[in-house]
Amino acid sequence: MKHLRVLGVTEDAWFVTGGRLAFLDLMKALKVAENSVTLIKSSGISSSIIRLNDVPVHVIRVPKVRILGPLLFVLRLFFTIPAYMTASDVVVVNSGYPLLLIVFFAKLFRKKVAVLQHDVLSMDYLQKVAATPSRRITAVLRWVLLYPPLVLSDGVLSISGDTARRLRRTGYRKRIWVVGNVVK
Amino acid sequence: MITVSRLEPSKRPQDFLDIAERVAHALGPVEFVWVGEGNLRKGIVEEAKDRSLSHVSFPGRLDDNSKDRLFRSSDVYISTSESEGFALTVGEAFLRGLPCVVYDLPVYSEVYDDFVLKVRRYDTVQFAETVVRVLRNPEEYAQLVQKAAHFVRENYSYKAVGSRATSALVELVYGRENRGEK
Repeated sequence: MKHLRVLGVTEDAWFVTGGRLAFLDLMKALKVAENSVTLIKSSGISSSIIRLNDVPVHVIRVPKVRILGPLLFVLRLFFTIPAYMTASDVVVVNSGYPLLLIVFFAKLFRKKVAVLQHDVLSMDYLQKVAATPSRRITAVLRWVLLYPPLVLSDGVLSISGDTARRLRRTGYRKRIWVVGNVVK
Repeated sequence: MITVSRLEPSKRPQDFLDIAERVAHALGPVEFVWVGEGNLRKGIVEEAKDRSLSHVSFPGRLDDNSKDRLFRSSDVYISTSESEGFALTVGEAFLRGLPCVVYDLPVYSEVYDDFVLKVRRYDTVQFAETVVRVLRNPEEYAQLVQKAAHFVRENYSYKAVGSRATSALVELVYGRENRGEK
């Protein structure tokens, strides 16, 4: 099998989510499969849970504040990503708000972009489970930045067949590969 | 009894309390532990207290070693979640030798074949009955759990996931016909 130079990009936060842990484990798994892997991520708790061993990580430090933290991450990513983009064959981005920016640079540098999709949740559902008005606003922002930009990617790595099917139901037509998740 | 999950509405911690209450009614004070933080923590801890469920505890987020110890000292893993992308903790439970009781979501069969014990969604009565059955007859489920652990090791190791993901990315970059070595 061929081996690739993979650039991974993910947001992180100060609470644990399955999607972020799955992404970090995917980076490790790609390394185990003898690819060259580099990761760019925002500061957060996930990398203290998943030890990335010999995966080089560029951490972009952002404050622990909702909306402002992610905005700063995207802004700093804008100046960081071009240098890494030239040295990669493919970019794998975690489903989340950095996707639009990554797709922009990937098209500029003629690189393929794959998105790791952990779950697919409807706007209705996110509104239902949001506990406060501010969380409802954040939920709308997240949904808008998560799902519509997926059509700009070149393909999706899905964590399960069920997630892939739910993604298809949203109208996503590009390629989806079910890769699973690492269980330890 | 253990579950590892964020304390969020989609994980249905109220159902967890209902099940704990019903199982305690059938078997006495079986210990129920919910590992994880979340927005609902304060409310659900108070509800457990109001319902006098002293055998239910919410220790919050635990480090890997403590979580592992708790897993290994438990008898059954349960999940009352109504939405899962992969249900990672179910796989972790299998690797530690626990049978898993969950709501009937398509994702479980997809990811873990027929190794999970599924009950009707939101039916806490059936859920509690299944938990009681497993607790009363652990030897009946031992072989199932052993097979499940083997299945998880085969399909969800770093090597297995890395190999599938590499194959997908090579196809993305070079096209379907150029996946092999040149």
